[in-house]
Amino acid sequence: MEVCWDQETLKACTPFGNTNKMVHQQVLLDYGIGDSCTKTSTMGCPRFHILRNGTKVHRSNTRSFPYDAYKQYCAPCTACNEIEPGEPCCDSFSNSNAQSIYKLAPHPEWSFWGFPSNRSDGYVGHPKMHTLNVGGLFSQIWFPCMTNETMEIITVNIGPETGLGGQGSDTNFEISDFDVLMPM
Amino acid sequence: MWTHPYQVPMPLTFSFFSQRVSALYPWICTYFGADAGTGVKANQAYDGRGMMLSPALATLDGPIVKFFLNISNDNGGGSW
Repeated sequence: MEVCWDQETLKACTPFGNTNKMVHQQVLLDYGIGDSCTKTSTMGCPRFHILRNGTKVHRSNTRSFPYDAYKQYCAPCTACNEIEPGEPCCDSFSNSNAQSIYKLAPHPEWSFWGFPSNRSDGYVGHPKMHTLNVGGLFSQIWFPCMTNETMEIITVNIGPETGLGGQGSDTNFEISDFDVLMPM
Repeated sequence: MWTHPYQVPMPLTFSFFSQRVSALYPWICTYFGADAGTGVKANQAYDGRGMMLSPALATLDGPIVKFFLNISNDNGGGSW
């Protein structure tokens, strides 16, 4: 799931413009076991989490920040001038534009919008018809250099990422009935 | 890595993604989806261009994304 805006004008991306300032904000769901956002390693988390009632919770707020809802975060350091020292920067070479990456874990914080609530929900052995409110999900994700317009979702992707891990190296996904429904 | 769409005797299209990595190619991703962009889109099994006619405004009402997903095997993956 991807939204995109210019970090300087804070307006939606256009096909032509300052490519150094346009940032692809990528949000993905990860069932994997890696986790670089924890109570003891908060720099792997976005600076804030937004609760459903709109309250912003800083990652240093160990009582309220849902560390288990995030697996990884990296910031668009080359494009946004609001990045704090110590915040991890996304690899600036794998995408022609700057990017940020939010890896979400299956978690009750997202399940209100239809996303999996735990590691087995929709995972191996539990095929599922997913109905995901992507717009609602984005209302709970905090971005630096936030756009002053309504976010535009430009890409919705589904597909496996596979890495060479301890136990194996292959992934099978079967996908059907893909649809994107716009609110009227 | 290969992907192919195939038809079942109903107006449904299934896409089957099967990928395997090795020490020589230790990471791969294969996304499939809808995209409102224009121009060349690299590194994707399906370009998806035009499936969304315009970007979808993110509101509390949507967009709603629906799909059926069976992760029939996962060793070393986990993201989608």
